[in-house]
Amino acid sequence: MKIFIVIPAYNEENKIGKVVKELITAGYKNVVVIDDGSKDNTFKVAKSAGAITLRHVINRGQGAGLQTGITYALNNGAGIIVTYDADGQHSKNDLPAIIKPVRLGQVDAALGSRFRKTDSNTPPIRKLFLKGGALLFRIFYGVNLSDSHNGFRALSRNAAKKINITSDDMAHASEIIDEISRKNIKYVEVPVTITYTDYSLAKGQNTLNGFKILWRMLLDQLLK
Amino acid sequence: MESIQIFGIIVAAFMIFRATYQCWKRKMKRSVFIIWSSIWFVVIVVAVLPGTTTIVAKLFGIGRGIDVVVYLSIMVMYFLGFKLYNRVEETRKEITKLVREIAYMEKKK
Ligand SMILES: Nc1nc2c(ncn2[C@@H]2O[C@H](COP(=O)(O)OP(=O)(O)O)[C@@H](O)[C@H]2O)c(=O)[nH]1
Ligand SMILES: [Mg+2]
Repeated sequence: MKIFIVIPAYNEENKIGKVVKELITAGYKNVVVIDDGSKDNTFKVAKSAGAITLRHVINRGQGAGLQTGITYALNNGAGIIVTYDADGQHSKNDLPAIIKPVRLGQVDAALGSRFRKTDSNTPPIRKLFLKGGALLFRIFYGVNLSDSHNGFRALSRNAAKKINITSDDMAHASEIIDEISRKNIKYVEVPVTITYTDYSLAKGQNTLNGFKILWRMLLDQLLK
Repeated sequence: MESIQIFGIIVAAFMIFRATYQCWKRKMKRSVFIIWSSIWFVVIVVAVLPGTTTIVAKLFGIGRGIDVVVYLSIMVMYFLGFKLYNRVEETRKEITKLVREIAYMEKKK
């Protein structure tokens, strides 16, 4: 089964090269990087590291990047699609475990969770926000998860076809959960390690953004 | 006549004049023009004959004429806000689609 790893990237020239090389060395040949209108050399770096590179001429957000990569993978015969972060926060060592339940056909979606591992080094404030998100998923979508907004997932071809990401920004993470719930996609949570470094924290989502996502979730529910 | 009435008439007349011009220049759809100028026409009627609002208010069982105007204005504003939100969302989705297609085309080259 052809495995594609889809990586949306925005201004990640410092990390993306290493991330791509690591994956290719580990034997994953189809690494798709979507450079989302970066202002730096993300595109060039990803390409010379050996990734299949797609480019958004202007920044459309992580959700838009993911959908571009997922559609590309589907059109090129992907059997399993893994979504992965460009900033080095995910670990290639978790790949076999997250792919396995999908490969064996036990589920159509395997969702990474940083709270199923005991050695999680998530900062407390981030943890509060992510746990709050998980609680909202339970209320809004009836989906029971221990983590929210984790970009590490494995999707079967079938699930990837069913899930349609229309939120361009970070709200796509809730949208994916919503789609999984609406379309009755069978899922499982798989423990993964998320590494927090000063780099990732400085670049990553802040708590204010969390409120924005919450607002969008509410609005989407009201207008649907 | 109170100065607020004169002010209302001037603003409404200007709005209708502007809409007519834009419609004539084909910058405004005829349907929008009709709705838009009707709203301002009502404003002129109310400004000239404030008593009309009381008649409408009685019809709806609302005490004062001016309250009807305020209620209606708020409703129209919410409606317009909603329309605007939808339009912006639609445009956003279209832009993303376009950007995505360009990405695939560039890849094929
Ligand atoms: N395509 C795209 N990817 C983005 C954008 N912003 C962040 N990303 C990528 O999304 C991933 C996770 O983003 P990050 O900001 O680190 O979020 P966090 O890890 O949840 O705090 C990384 O691979 C980023 O490069 C964006 O605007 N567009
Ligand atoms: Mg990150």
